[in-house]
Amino acid sequence: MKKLYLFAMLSCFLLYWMSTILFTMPENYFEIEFGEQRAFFDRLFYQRWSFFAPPPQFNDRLYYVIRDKKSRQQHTFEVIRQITTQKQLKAPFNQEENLLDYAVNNSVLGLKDIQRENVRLVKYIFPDSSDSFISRKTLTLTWQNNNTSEAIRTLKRYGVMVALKNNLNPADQEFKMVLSQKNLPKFKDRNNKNAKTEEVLVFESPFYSASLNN
Amino acid sequence: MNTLLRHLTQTNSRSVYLSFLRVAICLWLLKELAINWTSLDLLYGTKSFLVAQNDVLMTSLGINIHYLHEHYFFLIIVYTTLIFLYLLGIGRNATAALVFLSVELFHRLNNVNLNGGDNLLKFILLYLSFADTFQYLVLFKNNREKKDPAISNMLTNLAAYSIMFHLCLAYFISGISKAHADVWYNGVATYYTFSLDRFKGTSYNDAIVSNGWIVLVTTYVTILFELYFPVLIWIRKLRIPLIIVGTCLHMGIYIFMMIYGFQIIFILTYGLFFTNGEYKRAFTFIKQRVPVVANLEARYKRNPA
Repeated sequence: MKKLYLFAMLSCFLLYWMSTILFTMPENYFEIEFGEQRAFFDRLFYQRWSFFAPPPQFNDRLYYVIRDKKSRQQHTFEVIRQITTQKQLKAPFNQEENLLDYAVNNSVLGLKDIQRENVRLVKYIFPDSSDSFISRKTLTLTWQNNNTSEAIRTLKRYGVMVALKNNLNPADQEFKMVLSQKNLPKFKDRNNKNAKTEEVLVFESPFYSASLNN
Repeated sequence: MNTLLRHLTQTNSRSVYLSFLRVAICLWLLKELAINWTSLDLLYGTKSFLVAQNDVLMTSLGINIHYLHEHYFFLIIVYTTLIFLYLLGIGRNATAALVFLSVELFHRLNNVNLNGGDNLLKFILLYLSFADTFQYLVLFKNNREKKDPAISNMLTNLAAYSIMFHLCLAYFISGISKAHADVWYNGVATYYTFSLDRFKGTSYNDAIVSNGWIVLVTTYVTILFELYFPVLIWIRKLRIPLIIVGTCLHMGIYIFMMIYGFQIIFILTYGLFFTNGEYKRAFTFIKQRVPVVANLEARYKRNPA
């Protein structure tokens, strides 16, 4: 009886490890065949180990354009640079800044994921369309998620926090989110102080009203 | 097969380090709680700007996530109590399982601030909930001899191997994913990782990566270490050099990339690659070289009743 228990334990161990290895590997035939089971596996044992593969070659920039509804006076605030500067200055005792960095940047990544999916969708539906059409259509489609996507809702609420921090009453303001990527100098230009780096627009929302309850 | 079963059932071959690991993980969890204390409302509160994620598993189990967010502080109190109980070895494996479930619950309540270290930690806690980590460093020692420790030994040894396998898996997946990425393949990746605003841990980062040789060596050493660690760590003679390289790699990430908790968790698992016998031999060696250690042992050694 004891031997039976031991064999059962060993079998469970082997089964668990076989499925863990196969479902954690990069996309392969096994995953295609067992897609449904993978979804179940991920629900229980989600794991991702591809750290910095590849690393981003740009810094994200998130701008909030905050405009007074009546006077139309507008202010622009860039938030990611500000957070990372604080995080660098306070290192290693920077947990608050670190959490804020993760919260904002992971939401930015979420928004980019939606954007990427939408580009693919637009290209599939309108295969012969121009780049400017794809870009416009994608922005519209992405913004349609603004009340459902956790990432976009978080970024909208963070805009409200930015307004409050700058003594602007969110109820009187309308907001616009602009996300861009500021490229790092290429490796070959690392010592060239005059190397120019591009800032590429990734997403731009229309003006919207927001509150912390959105 | 019988040899394997005998190997797994005869002794709890890593009881010394497993006990240390339990205490270290509990202290790490308490440290995380302490440094996040002022941000708990941001992470789990209902008034935070962070929008609560809709977790499919919790929803399908009928758990009201909004209710948990509303009463998160009660959960924090329960969680802290459980960590203290586990730290002292009270409640044994039941407490271990509850600590694992609590960590999993908090990960699911908010996952925006999680990284690879948290991911590995979750699995370590899962495996530890099956292991006997209570032979040392406990408040109340269980003096009753187990009639047949075979099952307990087997579960403990499998749990220890699982932690080691998971570390190897993490490195290997990370290594082959890097090998697939152009900047790692071409030996320039650390230039980008060290230059990103989010991970620029020191003002020396720019100066370091301005040297192409440093970039080349650090990139290829990282990728080779991650790819070969899972194989070479099982060769006794290479174990210590490999662990030294791994510790340097993680300390480098800690200092230069500001990714803190992650590195501690990975380094903590290294100790499991040594058995009780190896720790005993190392301790005897130290005692012979450093008389102070021998004197301290003589003073504090418990006398058998």
